Amino acid sequence: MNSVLFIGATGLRAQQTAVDTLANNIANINTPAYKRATVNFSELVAPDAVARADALAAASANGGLGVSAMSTSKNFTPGELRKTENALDIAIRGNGFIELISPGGQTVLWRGASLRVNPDGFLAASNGLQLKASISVPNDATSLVIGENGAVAVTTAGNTKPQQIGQIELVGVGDARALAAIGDGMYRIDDPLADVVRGLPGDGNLGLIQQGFAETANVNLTEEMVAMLLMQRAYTANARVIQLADEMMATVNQLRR
Amino acid sequence: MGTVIDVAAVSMGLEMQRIETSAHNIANATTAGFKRQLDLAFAAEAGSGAADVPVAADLTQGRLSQTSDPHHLAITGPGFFAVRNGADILYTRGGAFSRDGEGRLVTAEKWVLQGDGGDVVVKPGEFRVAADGTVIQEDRAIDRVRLVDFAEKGALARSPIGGFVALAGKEGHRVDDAVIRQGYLEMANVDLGHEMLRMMESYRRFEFGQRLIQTYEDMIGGAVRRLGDLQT
Repeated sequence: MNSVLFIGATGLRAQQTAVDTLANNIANINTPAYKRATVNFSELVAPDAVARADALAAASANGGLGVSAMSTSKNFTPGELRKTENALDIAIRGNGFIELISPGGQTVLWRGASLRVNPDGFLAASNGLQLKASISVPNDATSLVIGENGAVAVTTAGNTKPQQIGQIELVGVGDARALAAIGDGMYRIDDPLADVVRGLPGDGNLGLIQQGFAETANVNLTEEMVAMLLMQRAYTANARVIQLADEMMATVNQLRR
Repeated sequence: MGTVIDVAAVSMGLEMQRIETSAHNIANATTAGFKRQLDLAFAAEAGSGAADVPVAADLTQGRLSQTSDPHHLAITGPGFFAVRNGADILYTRGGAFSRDGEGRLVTAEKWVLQGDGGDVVVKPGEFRVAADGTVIQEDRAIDRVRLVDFAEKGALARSPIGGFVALAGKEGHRVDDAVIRQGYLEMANVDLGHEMLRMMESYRRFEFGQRLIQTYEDMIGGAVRRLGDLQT
């Protein structure tokens, strides 16, 4: 009967993780380039249940131990691109990432959103992390043009011809699961063996850079709401299981009056 | 008279196991591809004899839910996905795959989806899985997802790490009349209401066992008292 209690507890924990993940998806529905996360559930089975020679016994109640929210996976399907007309908004039409320089020196990948010019003149992501391409924007720049191929050009005061000041490269990751979200739409490569491709925009399926666009979150509100209702019910059902386990223990205690 | 206590204790133990089964089913109500576990008594009823039903799982089709993730596959109809865990082949209905570093389609447990040519490997970029399981990339068929079913109901057992394994000497056969849907997941075939009902039912029987033991104790107690009265 103790195992009823624990099975119910695994269910509660797994549903809690799932609802947390869902809530985070919904909260970020307006975050540019946000990628929705989903929880993968996995059944827990007691190893000895199968080792037993009697196959029927293996299938009996003792085999199941509940459920585990095995892992959370990010869905990297590109979101829709929305026109913003802001020269410092960039989005990637494709699967690539822009590489940033992190304070710790690790590779940080970014799906693009708003750019800014740091006080030192370097082009950076909106949170201040500088682009790996190290593009220095002159002080007297009046306009900035980023081509689909990643070429960055500026027009300076008193100069009518745009002048190229840098080139943004894109990074592709074969296995999206190797990426760990570190907030602000940025990802760290967790798996040292991950298959990383660096190239110019337009190479392979890295995609093109679109200036003046923002990538919307790939969260579908209807899907999330439906899933949320389901999980809420499942959570309640698991809570009832625990309640029942408790009542059973009370019943056993009443055996001796 | 001691047998009354024994009978009640056995029945209470059995009901507890039934409740465990229901608790396990409820816990997995949202696990993709999960098949409802049946308990001993029910399994014995379902088959002609106990030996016929080594997997006491209800293999009826679960509902499909759209996820729009191209790596997610669902089966409508019979059969299982064949997945490789190291050197072992497991069978599962859970189609929540994702692409790993080598382009293989793997489950959350890191089991590799098998096709006609071994591991299914897709290159970066878009790919399509047709209804018959053909994997199409850049307008070329690159592999076909292997769906396997077993003629005998008793050929599968639960694997200790989840999924099913074929019992020794049991060969599966290729399934051609099932439809694979890309971007969908098969939900667990657990009916929460049904499981709740069965749990309450078992709980009442469990309580009955307790009452039986108490009544028996009262009876014996009364008998002993009366015997004592007779002696004085």
